[in-house]
Amino acid sequence: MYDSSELNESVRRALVLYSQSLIKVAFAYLKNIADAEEVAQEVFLAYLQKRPVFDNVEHEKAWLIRTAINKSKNMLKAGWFKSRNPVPENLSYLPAEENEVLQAVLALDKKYRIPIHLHYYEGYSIQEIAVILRAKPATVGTWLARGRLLLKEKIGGLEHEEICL
Amino acid sequence: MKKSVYKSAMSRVRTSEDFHEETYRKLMREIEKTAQPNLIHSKESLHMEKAQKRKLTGWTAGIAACAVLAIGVFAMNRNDSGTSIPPASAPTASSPAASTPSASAPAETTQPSDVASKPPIMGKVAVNIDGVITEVSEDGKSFKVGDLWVTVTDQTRMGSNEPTAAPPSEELLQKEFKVGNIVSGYTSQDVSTGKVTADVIYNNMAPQN
Repeated sequence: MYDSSELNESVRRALVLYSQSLIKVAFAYLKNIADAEEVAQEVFLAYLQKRPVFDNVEHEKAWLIRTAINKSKNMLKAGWFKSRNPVPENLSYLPAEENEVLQAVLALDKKYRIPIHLHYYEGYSIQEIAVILRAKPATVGTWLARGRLLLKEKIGGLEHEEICL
Repeated sequence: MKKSVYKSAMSRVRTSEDFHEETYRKLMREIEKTAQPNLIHSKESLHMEKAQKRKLTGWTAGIAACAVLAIGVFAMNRNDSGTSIPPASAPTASSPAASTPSASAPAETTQPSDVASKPPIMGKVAVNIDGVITEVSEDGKSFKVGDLWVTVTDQTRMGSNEPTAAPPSEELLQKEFKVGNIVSGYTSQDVSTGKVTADVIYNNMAPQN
């Protein structure tokens, strides 16, 4: 159990280490950086309020990512979110190839998009993704495979990448 | 392994430059907010504790007062039941009774032994004289009913003055007391002495064959 100074320190450390990961996974969900940053802030707030105790650093990161995914889902469900017309995120500053790939991934259904993000951006294996998403590894493998297939049809896919099993 | 294009693209996505500072400030505000309610909560909990103590004291005092009252009422009831005596009963002109005389109500009731502090309540009561004459004195003015000698004087009233009573007749109220006659009346004297004077004689009749 933390005391307040230890908690502040661990939150500060998590903020430095994981803020980009949380923003990016929320962005993969919400497709908007401002919303993604808000979700990331709420995750750190939840960290502060709930004071979870972790076995190790990987456990901590997985918890934060899981929380970010849940808060992103909540935001998508919110009525005010559904009723608005968000301005598409301007990614024109990215190189063309990267822009194309990113746009193609963001266009996928989120059940394919999120495993692809966790695998290719965070480097998680299928087993680890299954734990984070609370799904069966076989299901995660199927999602990954289908997502890659859809990307291949659209832009020629990510066939050069290896899959970590 | 070829660097992931997706990873590269995602890494380049721009985020707010002051995200860390803003987030940190937000978290500190939250910490301060939670610290304040703790202070308030501790004051409130102190108030609550005091209120609870007052409530507990009130209840305890109330229950104790009720207990004292209940004990007092119980003790008074016990005293009252120990000292009460039946009221003086009006004399009755009873029909011919069994051969044994009956002296139904004592002149006074004795106190139970456990209530020794109060003096006995005295009262004058009428005691029935009811039975068969077993002995008659020589002058004919006294007779024995059971163990009680009853004397008839000039003050003894013969017959009943009650509104519904039958008028006295020779058959029901003979002038002479004889052994075997059925007699009824009452006396207000103490029958425990064995000798009383009759206040009233209602009946003095020969036994029915």
